[in-house]
Amino acid sequence: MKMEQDPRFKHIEAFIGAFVVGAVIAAIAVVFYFGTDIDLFDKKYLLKFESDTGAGLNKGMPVKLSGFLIGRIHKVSLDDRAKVLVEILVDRKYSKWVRVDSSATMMQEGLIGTSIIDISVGSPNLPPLEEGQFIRFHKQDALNEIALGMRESVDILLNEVYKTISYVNDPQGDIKLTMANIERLTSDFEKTRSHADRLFQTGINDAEKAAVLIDNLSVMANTLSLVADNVSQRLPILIDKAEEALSNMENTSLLLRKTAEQTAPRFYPLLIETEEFVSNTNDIVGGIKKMWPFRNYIPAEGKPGIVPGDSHE
Amino acid sequence: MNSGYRSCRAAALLLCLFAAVAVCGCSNPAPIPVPPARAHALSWNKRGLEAENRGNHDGAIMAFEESLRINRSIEDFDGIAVSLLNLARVHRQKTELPLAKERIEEALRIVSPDNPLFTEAAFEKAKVELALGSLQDAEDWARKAIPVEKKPYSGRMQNLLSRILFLEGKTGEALPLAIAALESNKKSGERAEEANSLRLIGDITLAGGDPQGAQARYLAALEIDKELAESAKIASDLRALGAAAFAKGETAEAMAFYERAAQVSRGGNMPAEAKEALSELDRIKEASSR
Repeated sequence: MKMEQDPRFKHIEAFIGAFVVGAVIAAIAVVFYFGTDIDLFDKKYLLKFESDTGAGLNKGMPVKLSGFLIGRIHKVSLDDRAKVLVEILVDRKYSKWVRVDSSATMMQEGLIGTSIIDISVGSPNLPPLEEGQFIRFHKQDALNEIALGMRESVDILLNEVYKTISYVNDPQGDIKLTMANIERLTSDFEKTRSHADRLFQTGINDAEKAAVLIDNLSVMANTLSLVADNVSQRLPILIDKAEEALSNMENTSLLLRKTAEQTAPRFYPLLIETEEFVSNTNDIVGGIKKMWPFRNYIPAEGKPGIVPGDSHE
Repeated sequence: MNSGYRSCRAAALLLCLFAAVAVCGCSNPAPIPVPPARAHALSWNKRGLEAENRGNHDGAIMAFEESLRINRSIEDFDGIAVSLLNLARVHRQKTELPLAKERIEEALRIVSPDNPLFTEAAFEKAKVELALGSLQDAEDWARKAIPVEKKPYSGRMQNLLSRILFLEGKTGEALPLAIAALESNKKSGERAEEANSLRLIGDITLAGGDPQGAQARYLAALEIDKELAESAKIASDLRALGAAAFAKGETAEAMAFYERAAQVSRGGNMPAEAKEALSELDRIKEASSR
């Protein structure tokens, strides 16, 4: 059988071998490159903390110290007391900063960023935490929790305002009754005044009528006294209640202001980040829309569409 | 290694190359980029169409107004005409007829008769005039829409003109036009307009005193409208079927059709149409009890 001796295929096996070796080296380089990126080859040690809830705590969550990634959550489990036990793996080279007074805080990186565990730098005069030791943990309030707190306070305030308004509006309440009494008194005064006017106009110095007038005035004075008593009894209660409501309002407004002060600086960056996010998403979607084969399924944007017409509408 | 094996490998390589080239060939060239302002106007127009599709007339008006503003800022006359046409259409559907008239007349001042948009604008003008009750003006504009109209939409224009003629009492002219429209719509596959033609022929036939013939057309229209799931038109077909059955003296059947029409209208959130069907039902009940 004749063997073809094409010079192009002369060292084909050697080329393939070199290609395979090159591919293996490249694969190892890729593993090494990405492995170093995710700290695959760094020495680590284990720390633990306990949390009341496992909400937001996930395996692989970044652990940072002064903004630097120093480890990740290794395991999240429930212990015998139904507490959440979290194990974190921290790079050994950072262990000198993690001391017995260090604490771990679950927080959000940025406002719409991912949640992280932030470890505070410990005091240099205290011993570092050893393998398997527990670190203190607390969770930072999220925006929704702050909002929930605000809502509770506003609810209390609204309840107080509602109670005060109800108290003022109650037809059988002190305010309404007092107002009615004053109105009646004013009316009686008006009658008495017109009576007196008539008496003076007619010029009658009738002693009996004068006596009646005096009687009326006496009755009016008694009524006035009763009203004054009533007012003096009820008014302090009303003032107390109003003061209580005002005090609650003041406390709530202080709380609201404090909350606003805490949250307001976070909203502007949130807005900026959201805008950036939307802009980036637009860029990505715009890019995908121009790519084959997606662009085949997206209607051309050259001409504006018309609302469909129908001869029988 | 023998030559056959090498040939096979070379062929496989060539096949891969051909496959890659073929796959690349499937792609069409990237679209020509649209200037940002025009893209913005198109985007607002698209939003308007989507809002209108959802039945959100106010949202559609807002979006088309924004599209109009942008188109005006770049003197895109076709864009301006489309925005005005869309606005007129939505205002008409909202029964804001003076506004609809104002918008469509503005559009017609921009669009010359040789512009492809003229047909649609003339059609809309005829619809606005019809809604305003100016049958003669509506007829004039519907006639203007037909000669320049290219297929596949000519059936729609013919349907409109035929309907106007029928309303004017010119049934002799309306019927052949409706039949021509039906043929045109069948050819072009415009199912909704085909149903409109059938309903219109049914109306003309019923007015001509042939309820049997009308009923057959209405049933055919109903079948298509059900296929297209057009609630308003299904209700309209059912009411027409009720009228045809009543004309035939089939009172019970007529009542059943009106009841179905009322039910469909209620389900489709069209209380006025439901009320209309129920009042027809009452009228039939009253007539049958005498």
